[in-house]
Amino acid sequence: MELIQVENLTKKFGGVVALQSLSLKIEKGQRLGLLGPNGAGKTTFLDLLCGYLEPDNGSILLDSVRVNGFKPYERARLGISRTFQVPRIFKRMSLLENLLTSADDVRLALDFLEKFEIEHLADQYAENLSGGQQKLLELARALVRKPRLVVADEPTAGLSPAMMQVAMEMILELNKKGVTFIIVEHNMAVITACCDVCVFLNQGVKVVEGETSDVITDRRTVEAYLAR
Amino acid sequence: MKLKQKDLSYYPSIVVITLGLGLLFGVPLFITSDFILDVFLMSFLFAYLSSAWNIIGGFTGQISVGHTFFYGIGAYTTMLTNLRIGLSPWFGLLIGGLLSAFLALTLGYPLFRLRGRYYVLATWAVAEISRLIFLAAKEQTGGAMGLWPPVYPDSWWHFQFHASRVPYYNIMLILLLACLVTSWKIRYSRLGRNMLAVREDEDAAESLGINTFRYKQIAIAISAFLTAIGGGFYAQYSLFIDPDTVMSTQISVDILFPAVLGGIGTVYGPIVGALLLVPAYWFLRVTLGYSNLHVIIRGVLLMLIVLLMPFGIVGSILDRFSKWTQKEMIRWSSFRSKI
Repeated sequence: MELIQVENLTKKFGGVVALQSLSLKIEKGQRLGLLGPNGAGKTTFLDLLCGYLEPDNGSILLDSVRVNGFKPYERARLGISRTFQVPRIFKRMSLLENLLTSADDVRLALDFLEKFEIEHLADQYAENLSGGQQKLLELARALVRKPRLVVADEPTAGLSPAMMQVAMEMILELNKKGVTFIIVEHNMAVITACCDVCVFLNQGVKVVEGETSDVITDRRTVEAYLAR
Repeated sequence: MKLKQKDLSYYPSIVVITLGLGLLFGVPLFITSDFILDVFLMSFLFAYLSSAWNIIGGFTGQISVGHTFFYGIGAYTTMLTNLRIGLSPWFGLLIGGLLSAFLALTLGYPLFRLRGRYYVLATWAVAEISRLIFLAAKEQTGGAMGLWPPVYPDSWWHFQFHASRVPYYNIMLILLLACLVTSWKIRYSRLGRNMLAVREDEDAAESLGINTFRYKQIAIAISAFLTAIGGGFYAQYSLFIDPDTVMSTQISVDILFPAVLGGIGTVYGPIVGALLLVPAYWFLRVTLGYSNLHVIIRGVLLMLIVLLMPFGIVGSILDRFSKWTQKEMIRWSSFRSKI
């Protein structure tokens, strides 16, 4: 059963084609990795999916509901949660308050902070966190909402190995509970551990799609992206 | 309801609040000078106005430099409903507040499409254009000649007290406390958290399902309502209004300044700011005369604050004690949930 169905999605910025007729399906409970070099159209796709951009052509269906024209908050209320490439936390709010914007339950929020090993900082302003901790906080804020789909843009970028482990464990734990993930990531170890299927994009076009192990060993992926 | 032993820790706070209130309401008993009472009253008025402004400017981050528009609407509505249809100013205050909130919601549709400096400039433009319209509409507003109500003997119904300023003082103090409680309740609720999220990052807030436009509209409506009531109070206190005294850009700056000094986005910042600024303003004005030197001093002070304490006095203190205040917040939340 598909949670997301994208058909012929196209987005241009002036003369630059950021995404060209992209079609893909994401099953419920799947962990999809989105790979590609810089400028491949990954973040543009996430922005289109979450409603920050509107496509020039094509449609996006969330659980069979066409969400084109829906605003970001409307899509979020349908169960999409998002993290950004550069963490966009609420800096002049405490960590606890950051999570309480997503969930009203103080106990649940503290529980999530504990799982991400930042509960000792719960009452500090988020601006006092290190870059890695900010990344974790943003991920925790996205996950505490009990979303159906989490769209994570480089969730482990800038994390220490220990923090990366924590983030990956949380992704896998929530996935077991049925949460679907779309993960943009450059770290192949994370992609291999967290994603069961992958799509490789290059210059706005889908080049390879399939099982993670197949995609990352595909000649086209290796030549255009991994440079091995 | 039965409070547990640990909830007794709130009793000292309750005692302090009660003593503080007693002291504030008792001020007129010890002060006989009308001038000093007037300084107290104007400090409370600007603390109130700045606190009301803080709901949209501080909590939601939409820096308005046109709040004098709502202030003027409140003042003119109170005055005109009294003059034209003989309505008690108390009803005028309420009607002014509601009208102001309605206008704020209507203006919010085009204004909140703008962000940053464009929004700031638009709020200024709205206020300035309105002032010019009120100046031009002499038939309705009295233009530059202004308006004044019929004079009645001292009366609560007519909101006029000539023998003493104490009733005005008490009314203003009650309004200030009501505004403070409103501000506090908003800040430490889901509504306030979501307003802060809008201030911090609109895109991130939307990604969490927060309708940023709706929260801005709620904030501006509450802020405009309270500001208009402040304007209505001033109309009754001064018993004279014209566009330059209730709709000038200077008033918008005077409303904004205490929040900047005290701490934008904090509950107590605007109060602290006004209680320091207004007496300082009158002190400088009295000691320096009408040389306008006090305006220069105020300008320099503003620049120093922005450079040295970008989060204001209370904001800087909160930075140091954020841990303690957040714990207080959690304790209060759990305390309230037991009641």
